Amino acid sequence: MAEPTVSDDLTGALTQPPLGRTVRAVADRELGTHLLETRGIHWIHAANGDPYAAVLRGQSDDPYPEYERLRARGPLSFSPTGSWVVSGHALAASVLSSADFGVSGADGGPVAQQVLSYGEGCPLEHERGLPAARGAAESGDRAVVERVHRETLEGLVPDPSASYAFELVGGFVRPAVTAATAAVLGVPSDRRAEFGALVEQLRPLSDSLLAPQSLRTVRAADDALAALTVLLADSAADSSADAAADAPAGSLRPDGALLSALGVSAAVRLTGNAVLALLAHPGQWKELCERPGLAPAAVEETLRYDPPVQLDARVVRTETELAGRRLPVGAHVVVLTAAAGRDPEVFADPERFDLARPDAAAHLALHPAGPYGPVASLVRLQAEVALRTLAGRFPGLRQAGPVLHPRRAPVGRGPLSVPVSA
Amino acid sequence: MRVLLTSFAHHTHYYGLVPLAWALLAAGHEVRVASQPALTDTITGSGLAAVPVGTDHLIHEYRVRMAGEPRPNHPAIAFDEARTEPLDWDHALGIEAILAPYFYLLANNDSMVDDLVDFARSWQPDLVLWEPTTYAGAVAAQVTGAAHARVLWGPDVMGSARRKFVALRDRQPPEHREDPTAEWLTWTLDRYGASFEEELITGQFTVDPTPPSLRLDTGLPTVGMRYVPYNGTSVVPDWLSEPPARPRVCLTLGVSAREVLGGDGVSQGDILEALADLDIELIATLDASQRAEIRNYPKHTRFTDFVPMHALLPSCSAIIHHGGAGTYATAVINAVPQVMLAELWDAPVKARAVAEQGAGFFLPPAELTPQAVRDAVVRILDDPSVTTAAHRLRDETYRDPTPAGIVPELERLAAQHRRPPADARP
Repeated sequence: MAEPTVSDDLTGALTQPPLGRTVRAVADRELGTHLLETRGIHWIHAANGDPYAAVLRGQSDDPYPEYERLRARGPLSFSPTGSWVVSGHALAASVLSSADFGVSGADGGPVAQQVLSYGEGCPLEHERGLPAARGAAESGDRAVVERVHRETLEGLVPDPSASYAFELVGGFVRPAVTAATAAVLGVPSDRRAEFGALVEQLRPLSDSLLAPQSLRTVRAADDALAALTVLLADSAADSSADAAADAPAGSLRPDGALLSALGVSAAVRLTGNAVLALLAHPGQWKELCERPGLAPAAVEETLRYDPPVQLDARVVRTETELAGRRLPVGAHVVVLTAAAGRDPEVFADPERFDLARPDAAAHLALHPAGPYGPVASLVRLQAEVALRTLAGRFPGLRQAGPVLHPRRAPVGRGPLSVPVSA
Repeated sequence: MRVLLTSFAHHTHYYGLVPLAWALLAAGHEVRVASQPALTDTITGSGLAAVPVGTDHLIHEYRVRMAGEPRPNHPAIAFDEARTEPLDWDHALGIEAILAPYFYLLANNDSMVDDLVDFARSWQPDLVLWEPTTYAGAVAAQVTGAAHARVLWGPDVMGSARRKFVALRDRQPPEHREDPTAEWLTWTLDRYGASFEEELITGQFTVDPTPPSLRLDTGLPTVGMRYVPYNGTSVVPDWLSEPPARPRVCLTLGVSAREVLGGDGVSQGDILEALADLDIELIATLDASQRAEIRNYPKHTRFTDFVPMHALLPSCSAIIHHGGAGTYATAVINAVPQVMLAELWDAPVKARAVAEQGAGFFLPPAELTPQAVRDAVVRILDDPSVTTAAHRLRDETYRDPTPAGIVPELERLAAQHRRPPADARP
C-alpha cells in the first residue's frame, strides 16, 4: 500500500502563503496582516486538535503534554500547518545529521512554514557551517565569565518591597550572562547597556521564525539585528585600540559575534530551566551545592530534560525517505529536540531529572548542525558557571513565588522570572 | 449636520442602518452611505446616496479557502456569547485571534479603509454611524475628528465580548497580553497619523435597537431606539391580504435543505414532516431545489422563495427560524412567539433572552430534534402565556423612541464628541 506523499497531505492543509520578501521590505499593513492571519491559522488548527499547532500557539506553560500527544502519533507525523513533525530520538538524530536537510528552501529563501525572514542579517536563517569565529568557548573565556557572574551576584540588590529575596532571571541570570558575553565579545563598557537592550529585543527572534509575534515585536527584533550588527562591528574595529580591558584579543567575524550574542537568550533559558528542574527535584540542588563539579552534568541533564531551544526546523534539500514517507524537496520538517530528550526508547525513566544519569549527553539539544551549534560551548559554559556561582552563594535557594513563562515561544523555552528565597 | 453611515458590504448587516438614515435625512441632515462597491445597488435601492469605497471584501473567498477547516464558528471554538461556563483568557484570546484576521480585517479591507478615510477627509462628516464590525467608520472618525457611534443589529454581543476580553487581558501579566484587534487598528491608524483608543472598538456611544430586557449589560453609553424593520426592497404578495383561516406559522431557516442542523443531522424536511399533522397554515421559505427534497408537510403549506418579514409576521402566530437579526427583531416588534434553532454567535444570545422572557423557545443544536420543534409550536398555539409574553416584549419595544425620535439626541451627542482632526489635536 502506497504511503501518502506530502503533497497529498498538503491538499487538506490550511497554510498561509509566504510573504516572499524580508520583513524590512514589507509595509506594516502587509506584515501585520500576515502575522495575524498566520496566528489565526495556528489557533484554528490547535482548536481542531493538532498538537503541533498547539505548540506553535504557545499558550501553555508546559508544552510537554503536546509532545507526548505527538509521540503517540509515531516518530514522524504530519501537521495540518504543513510541517512534518519528528518526535522520536532516532529519527531526529538522523535528520539533524543528514545532508539532505537544510535551513532554507532550494532557492535559499524560506519555505511557507517559516513565518517570515529577516534576510541575510539573521544568523538563524543561515545554512550550517557559519564561520562563527567567536562561537566556541576559548581558553580565556572561563575566567571572564566566572568573574562577571560572581560580580553580578555580589552586586545584586534585593528588592525590600518584595515578599521574596530576589528575582532570579532578571536579577542575576540575564544580567550576568549578558555582561559576560559582552566582555567575551569585546563590547566596550560604555556600550554594554545598549548591547543588553538589543540582545533583549532579540529574545523572540528564534520564536518569530515559526510562531507569529506582534508586529511591534518583529519590527523591534529586525531593528535590533541591524543595530547589534553595527555595534559588534564597531567593537571589533575598536578592539585593537581601546577595547575593554577584560576583552580577549578580538578578531571577530561580525556574523559569528552576532550568533554569540543570540546565544545570550539560550544561555539564560538554559540556566533558568536548570534551576527550576533542580529546585523541583528534592535533593538535587543540595547535591549540586555539595559537589559543584556536578554543574556540567546538571547542564547536560537540563539539555535533555528541558532544553532552551526546543525544536530545530529543517527543509528537505534532496528528495528523501523518512520513516517510510517520501518527502519532496522543500518539505518542512520540524525536529522536536525537547521531545527526543524524553524518548523512552533511549532514556530510562525520561520524566525524571537526574544528575547521575549516565547517558544524559545523548540528547540532541544545541545540536552541532543546528543554528546554535557554533555557540553551544559558550552557552554551556555560561550556564555551568551561573549554576556554580549560585550554588556556591545560595545553598538554601528555593522558589518563592509563581514562575512566569513566556507566550508564543515554542522554540526558546525558559522562565521569564523566578522569584527565589535564599 | 453631515452624517456618514457605513457597513461592510453585506446586505443584512446594512439593513439595520437604513431607517435611521431615513430619519436623519427627513430631519434635514445630509446623509451618505459608504461600503464596498458590491453593496452600491443595495444602498441606492434603499433610497440613499452611496459612496463606494475600496475594492470588494474577500470574506467569501476566505471561507472557500478555509473549507474543511473549523471556521470561526466551529463548535470547537464556540464563538457564542451565550456560553454558560465562565470565559477564560485562552478562549477569549482565541476568539479574537481568529475573528480579527478572518472577519474584521476582511470586512474592513485596507483599500476600503483608505478610501473611507479619504472620503471623510474631503466630506468632513460631523457624525459617523457604523455597523458594529465596520471599524473603518471609527477609523475615519478618529482621523477627521467626527463623532462616531455603533448602530447595532441585535443585542450587543460585540460590546459584551470586548468588555470581557479587556477585563481578562488586563488580568494577565503584561508579558502575556495580546490584543489582535487593537494591534490591527493601531497600525491602520498609524498610517493616517492617528492613534488607537478603546472607543475605536466600542464607539463613543451605541445605538441599540434591542428592547431593554433583552439587552446585554456592557456598561457602554447607549441610546435605545425602537427597531423599525427594513428587509430590503420588497413587493407584498396578494395572498397576504387574505386573513389566515388557521394559525399561520412561518418557517425560515436560511440554510440549504441538504445542510443539516445540530449534531443529530436534523434537516428542514425532518422538521416539515414533524409538523405535518398540525392544523396550521405553514409559510416555508424554500427555493425550488430545496422543495424537491421535501417529502411530507402540513396540508396547508405555502412554499415561497422570499416574503418580506415585516409584511408576513403581523399575520403569524409563531415563527421557526435560526436567529437572524432582522427576523428576530421583526418578530419581536410584531409580538410573534419565536422558536429559535440558534447556533451561531449572537443567535443563541437572542434565543436565550427571548426564552427567558417566556416569549418563545431556544433549541440549541444539542437539543434540536423534529419532535422538539413540533412540541414548541404546539405549546405556542395552545398556551396563551407565550403570546402574552411576546406582547409584553413588543410593548416594551414601543416605549423606546423611533429612529426619528432619537435624531435630536444624536445631534446633541455629535456636538459633544466632535473634535478637531487627529493631526490638529494636541
